[in-house]
Amino acid sequence: MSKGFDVVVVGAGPGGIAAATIAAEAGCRVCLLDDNATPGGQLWRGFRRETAGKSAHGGSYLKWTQRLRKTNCEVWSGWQVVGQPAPGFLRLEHDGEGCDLGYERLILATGARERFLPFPGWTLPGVTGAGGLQALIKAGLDAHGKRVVVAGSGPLLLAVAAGVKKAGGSVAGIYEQAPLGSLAGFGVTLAGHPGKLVEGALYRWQTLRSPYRTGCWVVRAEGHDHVERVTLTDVHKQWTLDCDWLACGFHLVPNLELPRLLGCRVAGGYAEVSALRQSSVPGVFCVGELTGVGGLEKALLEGQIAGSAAAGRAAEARALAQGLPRYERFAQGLDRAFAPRQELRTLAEPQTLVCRCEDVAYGAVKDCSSRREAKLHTRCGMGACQGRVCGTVTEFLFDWESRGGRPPVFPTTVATLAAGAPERVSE
Amino acid sequence: MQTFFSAPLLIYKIVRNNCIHAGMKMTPEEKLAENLRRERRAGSMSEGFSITVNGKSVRVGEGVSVAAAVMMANEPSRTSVHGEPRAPLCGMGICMECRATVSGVLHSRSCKMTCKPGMTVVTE
Repeated sequence: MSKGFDVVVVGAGPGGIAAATIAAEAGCRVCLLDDNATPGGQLWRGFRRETAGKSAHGGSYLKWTQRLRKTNCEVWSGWQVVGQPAPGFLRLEHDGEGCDLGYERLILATGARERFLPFPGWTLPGVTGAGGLQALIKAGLDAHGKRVVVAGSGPLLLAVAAGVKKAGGSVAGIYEQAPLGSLAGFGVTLAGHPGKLVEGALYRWQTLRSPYRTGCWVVRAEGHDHVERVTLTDVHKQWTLDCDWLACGFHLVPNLELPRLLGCRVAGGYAEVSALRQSSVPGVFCVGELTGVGGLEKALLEGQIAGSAAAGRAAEARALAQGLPRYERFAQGLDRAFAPRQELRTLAEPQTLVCRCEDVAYGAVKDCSSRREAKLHTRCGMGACQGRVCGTVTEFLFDWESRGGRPPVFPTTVATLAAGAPERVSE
Repeated sequence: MQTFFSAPLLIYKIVRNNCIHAGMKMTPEEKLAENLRRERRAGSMSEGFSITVNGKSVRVGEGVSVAAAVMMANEPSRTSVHGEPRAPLCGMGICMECRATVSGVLHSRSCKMTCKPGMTVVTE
């Protein structure tokens, strides 16, 4: 089975929804793909039309989803992109069935994931990502009676803590690894984004009973088959807190697997794009966190730019692109302020796992000279997550470059992989 | 940092809460949202439906992900290659720690799936 569209958008988060909406409004035949059960991405996860108004990002969600519904854009939820069988085609999988999708222009809005860093005990059940716990709570996890330590880095921590409280849990503390100095510098950048300032203030207000401390990080998590306590440090001293869950993530990194597979150039950890969000591959655009982790407004604007450009409305796209620099500065400010500190490199002990899929310990990989060598000798990065977790870890710990870009983008069935090359259908 | 983040919204919240306590009417959307939230909370306690996780019955509300249900059943989601119990890490389909056999389908990413009545989950 194969089908063709003028514009295919991968990722139905804010950036992807904006791009698909604009391209469809301009008269293109558009398909919006997402591997989640419902559109919305991480930020708008679990939002419903009836209840969204109460959430911090509900207004933008309602506005864009209403606009999208008025177009004839096809929304395919639950479809996973696995590869590129031929130029101009994506191979997809849904419920174990494969399908090829042809496109004239492609807009990638695959978003970001959390950066995880290893410390003793990080593989214990009950230790989740910060955004990970937020995603699980948005997906219905009941936090009543749970005592949660939120740690790691990034503005997300406050939102996560607020989410835990809203879901009935208690927050034992919010521990940001970045020093107060970097946050103060970031605060100056925030002056140009009053909306973000208000959002941060609201989250902090909702979690006022829990301490928010900067320059602190988790040294180890302990427990029998489940996390029971967490030891933290602020360089000078260490202390231990009892908890049911530890939510720990170190800011965000973009999901570059698909752009890399398609040949898009990556520089400085992000997809390289022109002012109109055109990647180094003609006809392929990258928007949102792929070009710099900058959150909702940046993704919405970039989605609109790429949507206009992909629909051939270059003048409109150029006009919109005028507004980009301030969001790009915001994204750079975030990366600077929440960069992981060097002390985090020293947390892993020889028996601490680096690769969770294949159970490869720090001691086994620390003497390898490259990611490839570690792969060949220890299977580090050869498990089901395809190096999504340990690739980011080894990049930080050992400066090993993570290249990726090999099909399939996600584990898939042999039948899907083995299907023949697609034929272009004329409609 | 505390004052830096919390000062501006403080007054707004106090005024707003006081207005609600003083009996100021909720907008219809707010009422609907409040009711839905109550229903959802009640759904996970008394209403909703059951799924089976490693033989245990778990009651879940509408729209709850399978990974969340496995966590609420206090079951690890998989056993690692060296035999350690694991539970979901990323919650968004990246880390593969939540892989389980869901309704007979091996290696399903349970965080990406929504609970359906009568579903059976066997963790790996």
